[in-house]
Amino acid sequence: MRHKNHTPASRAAAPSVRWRGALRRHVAVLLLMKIAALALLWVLFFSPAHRAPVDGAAVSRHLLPAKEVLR
Amino acid sequence: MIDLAVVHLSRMQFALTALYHFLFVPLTLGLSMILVIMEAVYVMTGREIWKRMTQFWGMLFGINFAMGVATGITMEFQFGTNWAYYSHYVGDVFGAPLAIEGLMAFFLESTFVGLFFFGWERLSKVGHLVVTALVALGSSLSALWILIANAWMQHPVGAQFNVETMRMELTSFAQVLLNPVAQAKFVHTVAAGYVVGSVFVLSISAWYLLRGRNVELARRSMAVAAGFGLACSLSVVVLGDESGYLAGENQKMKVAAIEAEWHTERAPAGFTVFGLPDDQAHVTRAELKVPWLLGLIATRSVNEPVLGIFDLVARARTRISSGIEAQAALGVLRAHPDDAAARALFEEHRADLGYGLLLLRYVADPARATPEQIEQAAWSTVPDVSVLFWCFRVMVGVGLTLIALFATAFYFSARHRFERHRWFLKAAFLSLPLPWIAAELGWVVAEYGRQPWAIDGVLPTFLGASPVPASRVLLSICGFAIFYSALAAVDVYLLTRMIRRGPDGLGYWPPAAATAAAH
Repeated sequence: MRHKNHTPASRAAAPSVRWRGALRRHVAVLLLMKIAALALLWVLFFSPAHRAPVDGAAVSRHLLPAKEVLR
Repeated sequence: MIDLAVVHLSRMQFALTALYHFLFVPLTLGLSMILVIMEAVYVMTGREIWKRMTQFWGMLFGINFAMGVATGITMEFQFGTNWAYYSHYVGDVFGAPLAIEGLMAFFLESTFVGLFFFGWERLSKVGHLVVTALVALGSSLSALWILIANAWMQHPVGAQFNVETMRMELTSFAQVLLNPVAQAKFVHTVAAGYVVGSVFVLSISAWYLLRGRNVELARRSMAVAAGFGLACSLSVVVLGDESGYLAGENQKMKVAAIEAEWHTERAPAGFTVFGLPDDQAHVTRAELKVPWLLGLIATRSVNEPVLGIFDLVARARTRISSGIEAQAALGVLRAHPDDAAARALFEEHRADLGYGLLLLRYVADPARATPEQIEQAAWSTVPDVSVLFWCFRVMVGVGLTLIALFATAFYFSARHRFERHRWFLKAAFLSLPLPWIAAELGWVVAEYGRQPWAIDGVLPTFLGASPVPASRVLLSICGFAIFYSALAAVDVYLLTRMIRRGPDGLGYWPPAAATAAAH
């Protein structure tokens, strides 16, 4: 009796486990692809080599070019 | 020396991405509120068809929402990549609303969008309606914070320039938050978004009725869109008028350019309905005016003049001369922070520093500017008159057309006569692009009319661009063009596929189809 009750539950659980496993794989692959894409974007456009350092001194040179020369 | 190619390319990139992004934003705003209305009817009446309507239009909302998010994120990055000087100069003020938008509104919106789609079977009727309402609220809050930031660019309040850090710093967050320009912009933009959503629903429903498909669902959808759209399209006019008044107070040059008003109009100023502006000759030919109207819009009075471009250029000339003093004093202060005389001189002319900076486009040292260069700088405060004049009039014309469309739809809806008038259904379907045209032109008027300023009266646009090679900006424009074209193709494919399949094909309605789809 116990065995009979358990069987349908096991049958229902099996596809669920397969489905969850597939989902985990898909999510993992997608996340890896996303991280790779973000890393590529960072290397191409946002890494320190691409940054234009702008601080108070740079703004001062930008807005007061002649004054900077005079100093 | 400033590389103007970088400035022009950066402006072009921002304009392209902003206009593209705004194809999705107003539809998100509009559809989210229409979903609330439809679901509220479902909760109140218990009729299944209203739930199915909410789910069908909600699916189209979801596609559009995803596109809006994808295209919006890239815009915020551009402030750092393309506008580094701008970001340093005003980041202390401008960054706060952008950050709040990202942290609060965006997360709120995204979380509840997830609950909207996956919560139908897990939440109670009222619980799900609350979720849908929070999606709409989140969308509006996103718009609010972005528009607070944008309004600050149009009318910078609650901030002051700091000589030591060489940037604008926040002095009153309350002033930034309660900026009257932000309030007017917010309600005007959100109402325009509601109009876009209403036209979308009206138009797609008309398409179904023309084909005799999904009649029950389409008829009800049209009724919602007609009533909501009529109220919102009338609101857009009233709220736009408030924006016009505030521009008349704070951005007189923008109003003069929109009106192609070269010379000051004596009170009560007339509104130019039609004319042929000539930017070179500084005249407007074949003018057709409505007496008093401009005075009422721009000054809320019949006894105040509306300043013309020539008089505003003369004002700019005076402010540039004052700005030269401010810039010179700032130079001394940077070298000798304790120089009391320079500090006093700077404080006296502080308000005009931005005008002095306009000269950097023509001369390295503004103190040595010739009268011709000052004249050039003064005339550079005039935006492109013809573009503003026509964009504004087409926007208003489209807005009035949409009021007529919604009024007709409302009349037919009240009399249950949609299907009898196929001409109207065709007109409703063909009107689909109109609200987007008006919304995009509205942004062109607002932002192109702000030129030559990035921050009105504070920072000229050409001084805000990053010190990067033009070739790199060109490369990123090409990247955006390819990426956004691909996104557009996917978006159009998904939307047209879902609309063609329709509620019947997708199993939303009738109930038999829904049951079959469930099995």
